[in-house]
Amino acid sequence: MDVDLIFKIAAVGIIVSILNQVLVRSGREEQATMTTIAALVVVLMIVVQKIADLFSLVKSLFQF
Amino acid sequence: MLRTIGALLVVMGAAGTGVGLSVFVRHSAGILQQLIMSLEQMKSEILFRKTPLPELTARLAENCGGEVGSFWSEVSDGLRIGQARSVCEVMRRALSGRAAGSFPAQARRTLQNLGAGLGNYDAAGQVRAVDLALSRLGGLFTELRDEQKSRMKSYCTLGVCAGLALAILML
Amino acid sequence: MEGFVRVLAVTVTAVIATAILKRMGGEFAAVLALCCVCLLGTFAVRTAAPVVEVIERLETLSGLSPAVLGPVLKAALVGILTGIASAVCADGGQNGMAKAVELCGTVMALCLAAPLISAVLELLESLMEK
Repeated sequence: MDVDLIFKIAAVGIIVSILNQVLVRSGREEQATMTTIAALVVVLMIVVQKIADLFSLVKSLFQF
Repeated sequence: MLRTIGALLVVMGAAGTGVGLSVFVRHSAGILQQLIMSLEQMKSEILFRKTPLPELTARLAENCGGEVGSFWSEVSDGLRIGQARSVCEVMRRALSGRAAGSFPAQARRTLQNLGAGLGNYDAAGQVRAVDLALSRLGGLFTELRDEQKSRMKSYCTLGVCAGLALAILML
Repeated sequence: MEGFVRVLAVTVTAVIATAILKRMGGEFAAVLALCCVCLLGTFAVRTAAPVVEVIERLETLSGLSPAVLGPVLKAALVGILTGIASAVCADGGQNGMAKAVELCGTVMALCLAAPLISAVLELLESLMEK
């Protein structure tokens, strides 16, 4: 089981939240939003791969 | 091992970029301070000694160091060459040179406007042009000085956090 | 057993991390929860592989046709996946989407069971004709 992925996503989430707060306090709300969205997209791309792996495993095992 | 070294390099690179930006902010404040001091000297030279512009700018170049001194030196050389270039044209060339590359954009615009005034008016008009430039640069310097600390902190934090995020994603 | 201990460790870690991320901004908490669900689901499916083999062996021994047991297994799987998807939607605060997913899962399970029901009806018809 790829446990590192949990730590990766948690760490990226915390770092992006800190970045978000720093940018908002500097008065750059749009850049803060863009940074959050970009990080979310990157993390979702990783998670979507795991979801695809899960579904192909289910398909092969249960002969869907 | 290699991956850890790579991650460390990414973090250091991003943090270095953040630190570089924050140093640039401090450097800009220093340049503005030097420009203000040189303009104050220019004002007193015009008011009390009626120094011609080539000599005045040469004196400013001697008294200031670094990029500001090089800038005034270029202006002085441009005025001495005697190619019938206007003060505005000489200032424009000096502002697009290497020495003025690190001046804040607003400071460059202010100096360009000053150049337009210096060669065209009498002494009183020139003093008013210098006063206007001084008030603009003063405002810019106050703004930068008030924001300097928070900006430097922001840039450093941004650099380190971006580096960490990249390293974690790539590891 | 070792795998199950890892599952517990991953779940506890993910719960704590999600709680921290919810305080700082809820988007990554939802993504982390989804990722944890995927990882645990993958573990469960991989662990269930020998169980499926046993069920297939039982099917062969009992003489039942694959058309009978197949839909039952698939309907069970659809039920489990629907429950998980519905819970993930509810976690994200979208109860409407959760209900819609449950509805889709129910319809899907009915579609999978339809051939079985047709077969039973045909058998009843043939018995009644006799």
